[in-house]
Amino acid sequence: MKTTKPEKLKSVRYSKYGYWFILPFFIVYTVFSLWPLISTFYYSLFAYTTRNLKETITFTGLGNYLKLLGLADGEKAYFLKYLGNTLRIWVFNFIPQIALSLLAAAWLTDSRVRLRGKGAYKVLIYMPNIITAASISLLFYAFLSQYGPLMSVLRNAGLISQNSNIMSSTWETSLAISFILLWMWYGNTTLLLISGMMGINASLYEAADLDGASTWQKFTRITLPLLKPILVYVLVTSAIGGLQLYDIPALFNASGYIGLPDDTSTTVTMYIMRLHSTDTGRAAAVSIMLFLITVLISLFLFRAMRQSESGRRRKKAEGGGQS
Amino acid sequence: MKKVLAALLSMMMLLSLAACGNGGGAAPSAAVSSGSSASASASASASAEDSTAVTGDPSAANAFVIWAWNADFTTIQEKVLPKYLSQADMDRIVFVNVGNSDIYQDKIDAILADPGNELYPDIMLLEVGYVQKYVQSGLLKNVADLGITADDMSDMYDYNLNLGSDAASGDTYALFWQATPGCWQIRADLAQQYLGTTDPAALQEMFSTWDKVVKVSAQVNDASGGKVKLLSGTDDLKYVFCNGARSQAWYNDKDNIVVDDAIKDYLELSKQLKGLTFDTLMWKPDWAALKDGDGVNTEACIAFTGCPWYSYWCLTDTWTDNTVLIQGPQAFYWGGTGLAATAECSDTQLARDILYYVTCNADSMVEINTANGDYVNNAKAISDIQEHGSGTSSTFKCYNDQDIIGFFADKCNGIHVLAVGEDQVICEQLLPTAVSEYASGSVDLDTAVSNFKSAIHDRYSYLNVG
Repeated sequence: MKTTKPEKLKSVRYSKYGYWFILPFFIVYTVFSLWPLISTFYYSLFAYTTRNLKETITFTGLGNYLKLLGLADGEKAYFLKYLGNTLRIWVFNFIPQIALSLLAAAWLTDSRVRLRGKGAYKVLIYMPNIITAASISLLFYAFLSQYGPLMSVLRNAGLISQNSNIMSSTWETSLAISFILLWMWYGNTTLLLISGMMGINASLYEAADLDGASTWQKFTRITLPLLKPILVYVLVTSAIGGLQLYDIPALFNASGYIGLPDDTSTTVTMYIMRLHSTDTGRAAAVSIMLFLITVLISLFLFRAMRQSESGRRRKKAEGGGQS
Repeated sequence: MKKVLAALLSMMMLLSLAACGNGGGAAPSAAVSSGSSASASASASASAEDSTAVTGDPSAANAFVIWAWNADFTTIQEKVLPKYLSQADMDRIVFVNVGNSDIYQDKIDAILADPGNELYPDIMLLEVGYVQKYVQSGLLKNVADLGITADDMSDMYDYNLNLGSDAASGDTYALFWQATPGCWQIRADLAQQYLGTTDPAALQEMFSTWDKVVKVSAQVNDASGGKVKLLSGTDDLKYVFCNGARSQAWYNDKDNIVVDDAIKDYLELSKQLKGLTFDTLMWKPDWAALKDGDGVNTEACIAFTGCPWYSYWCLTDTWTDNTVLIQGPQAFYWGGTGLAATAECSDTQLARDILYYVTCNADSMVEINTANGDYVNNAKAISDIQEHGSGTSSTFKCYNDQDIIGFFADKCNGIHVLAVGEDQVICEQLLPTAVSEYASGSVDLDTAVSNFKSAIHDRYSYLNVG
């Protein structure tokens, strides 16, 4: 019997304190994220009609979802249209953004470039992110508007026609919004990538230098593969943020939650805002759809990352066997 | 266990990021690329909250609360009402100024749902674009129950009376102190240069039909090489068509959406004017800049649509002594503010007095005109002002001293009212999209009309595409 005592001492579990430490997260998460999510789904099953301040609520099951997808009688698939707008704006922001950020991050971390004033650059590229989106939107609107400084100069120089107007062209407005987002967020992405690149063991680069690898080879063979986890993180967070895109398009070239011109820069979240006061149920359904799409995209990206990691490990093992 | 926990945590992180859009508030989205709804709505609502100003003591037992979205009423409250109400009553008035017309309805709708709130309105100010929403809500008091008689309202212009009344029962709920007949304001210096005249009658003849408007637009555009155009954009004409030319309301008694022929005319006109205007939207910076262009180095336009409050307060110095007022092709109204007592109003006598002296009594309404230049909704007061003059505080003057009050005197007569509570959203938000879509040539008329109906139905699901 006495021999059991030391064993008991060995099995003292410290992990229970760990659970206490993470408990606040779960409480906050449940109250502020999980519960709203569940209740949003619940609301999405009802049709709320407010007419002249009198509200009627009827249970419609999945009716709201059918309406949004244009599957119900007489309904147009506004949700899909706005999802398309949102994705168009996001893609044209993200592709140049990741390219620009990779370039900036590579320069700022490359030991051979030896850039002076790295700290100053890092601060400068992050600057646009400090200004509130509302101010940025309005400033860019004033700058790019038909009789704003940029267009006036171009017009007077004869570079654009008299009637050209960014605000009345679908693609120009959309690209302008993408550009604002790129300008706002590339600093943030660059910093994330820098932290990823600094985590890469410098001896790998030294070894590559000794083998006579070019800068491009080092970038594609060492930096990019080892940066993959950070790249996926950037992609996932940007995709989530991109799907919820609201502030810039809502204030840039819009009138009452309708993205101009012709409703072509309206994002899904602007649609939620537009609906929430007239039909809470449909607004909730849009939120749930957006949530599901976000989960799908995120799961896909996480899975893609895991697969490529295990694939690489397998490949490495096989390669090792061969050599 | 560790693996499960790690997986759970990462899933939670993912969920909480994604849930931001729905829950509307957790912090992680602030770090998310490409902006977040949480930070935007926070900054937007923060600036909106700050602008709500409460004057007076709402906690007083006999507080009498008046809600408005700007300070227009303050001038009347300070300069006119003290002459007609007792000081004790004046001291009871609590004025809530939301300071932002975009969120005003959200604010009052929220407070109307909370009758116990000390800021529950006794009187609300309501704009023409949505006044019917409240008239039909059952939350307003019939003015007859306040003690305002048909005789009291006999000097009001008919169209304004209709705007605040329930068409079915004929009961009146909201009364207006301004009359807002529409007009075209012609810039005299540019008119002389490009149209060859500044005579109001000749200009009216020149713009008596839409065909003539298109013709003159083309002439001006050619003559100036595109630096000067007749109109800033067809968006300027939306009130002319919505609040004047239509012969049917936006939906019929079966709640089927109706796109009147006048709206189709508007779409066609916008297409004809494509390239002949600057294609601006009202209240946007480039639209405002056109008012002060010189027509040589900077773009300018000759005509803006207007109404009394617009001419007095929104035209710039460029237009002082430089404006000719004409009716244009169509009578219409633009804007206007109604006063309505709520059904739960705490003191019907005081509500009656305020409504009476602000919207019914000719003498006090002459004083309103003196205090703030408003073109008042009272035919008797207007003829008094015409006869004796009234010192308004606006420095606005028409070209050649054209008689402003005299010009507007008969302009309320031809206005036809078809108001519904959805007017503002349909006319100011949904119609402009249909107009620009059709004018750009990307869709034919039937598609544009059907898209417009779908957009109305999408916003107001109880209205049918039909």
